Amino acid sequence: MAKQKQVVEELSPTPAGKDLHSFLEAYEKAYPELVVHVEREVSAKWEASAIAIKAQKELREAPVLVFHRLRMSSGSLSPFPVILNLFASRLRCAFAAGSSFEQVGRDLYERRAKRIPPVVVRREEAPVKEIVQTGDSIDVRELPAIVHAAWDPGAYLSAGFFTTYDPDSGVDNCALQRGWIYGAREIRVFANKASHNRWNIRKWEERGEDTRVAYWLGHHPAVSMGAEARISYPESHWAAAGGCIGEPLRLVPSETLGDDFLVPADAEFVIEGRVPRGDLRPEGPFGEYTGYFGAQRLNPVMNVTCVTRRKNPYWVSIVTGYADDQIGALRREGSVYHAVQQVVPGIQCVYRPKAAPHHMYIQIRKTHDSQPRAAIMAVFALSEGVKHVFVFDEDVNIFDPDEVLWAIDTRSDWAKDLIVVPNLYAPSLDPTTSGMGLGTRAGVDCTKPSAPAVYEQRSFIPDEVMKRIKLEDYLPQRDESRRR
Amino acid sequence: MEKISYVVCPACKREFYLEGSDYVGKPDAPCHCPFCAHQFAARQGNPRPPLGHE
Repeated sequence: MAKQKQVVEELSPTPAGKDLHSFLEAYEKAYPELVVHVEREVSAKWEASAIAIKAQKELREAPVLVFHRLRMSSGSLSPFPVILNLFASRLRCAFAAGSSFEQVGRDLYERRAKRIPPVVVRREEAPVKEIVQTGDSIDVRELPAIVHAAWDPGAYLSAGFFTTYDPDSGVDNCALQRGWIYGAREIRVFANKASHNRWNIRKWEERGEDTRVAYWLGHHPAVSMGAEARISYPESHWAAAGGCIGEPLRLVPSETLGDDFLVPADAEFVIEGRVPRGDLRPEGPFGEYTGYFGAQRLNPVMNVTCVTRRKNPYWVSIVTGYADDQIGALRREGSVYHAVQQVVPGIQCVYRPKAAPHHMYIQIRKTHDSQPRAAIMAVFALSEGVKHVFVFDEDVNIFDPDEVLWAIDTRSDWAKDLIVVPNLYAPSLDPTTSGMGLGTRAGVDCTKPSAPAVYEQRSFIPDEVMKRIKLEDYLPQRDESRRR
Repeated sequence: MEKISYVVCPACKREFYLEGSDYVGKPDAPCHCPFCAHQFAARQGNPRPPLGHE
């Protein structure tokens, strides 16, 4: 493997970096009601997912769920607690990133843009090396991965970052890519054909070699959000993650893939393995972020060579297709904000609504009628899978679905404010995408015309009155549970 | 090329679908029933619409 040019090569003792344990401790201290420890026995097959989804839908704010008695498909209880809904709250992601509800997507983008190269630590300084399993002792079916949805063929790694290295440059690549735990030492990986990980696998195959790979799972959410970045190729996700946490990410050499294959020292789990050349096997279906089952595909196989973990790790799962997809949503928001800012300096905010994985709302301080279209075209040029773009004035609260619908209704005339462009890149998991990976994108200008044009005035109650009136002074026995 | 093709598991008779671009022109490529774990060749699942040719 080529020299790791971006990595500080000398090993140095560093203070313990930010990790999942320190995050949970801080978060539970700040918001004790938003970390729920489930002591009742729960099945790993569908029940944990069902509880997570109901918590998202029925509670005002989805808490982190820590399952302490998860019954696995093998019949035994998980020896480790299992976390769901870690990313299911935008406020929680903002807390992890040290940002605000409105600007967390933008802030994460700006932080990871300030790349901070990682540092390499010794094995004895890496919590993820506290327990090491190799050879026949490994059985990844003993890991508490859950069966998420009704058509999933088995338990899946859903919060694991699949990691490869580019054989030409030596640069790392990470992506949140699902892995079906098929056998004792076999994981079938959905490494999308267009993904950088799949490019790396092809490059190794062209050299006549198997690909060294690893999954790492469980870390400070800011590290995860940084590692999930869609950056150019080849570019280091370690450095992007370091930017997000404001310090170098601590890495440690692998156990079975060579000292030049580095993995996060503070992760909860690392699963090492190799992808044999040309070996593709059925993988899926799987309930995906789109809210549909992704089709069964022929995908690479990972032969597991080692599992390392902390002594007391958390296992993390993401129930895709629901609020936990925040991690992908925030990444898209950041990319969109940056792209639009180049052409519309008055951009205020962006938001990918929970219910629509391919929508994007953009709020601008408009000064010229060309700006909404410029914003829309800037987003169309991205490969972020944003299909429908809506541009709003700054007086529209883009986080309020009622205001969004009102603005679409009363500020857009689709004879002139709708742009439709067919045959652009579209994510293969979107059901509307063609078999050739093409789809249609559309943008709607939902802004009022700029001066000197005139427009109706939005109706309002004087501010002084709205601020002075308190419902509890007028409505008897107000029930807090009914309050929005 | 069709984006997806439904197949019927010969063992349990339940349906699921395959990614067209992975299975096009490969009627003997393996499938794995997510419901009963039966393994079968794509053609044995009577793909609908047909998988087509590369």
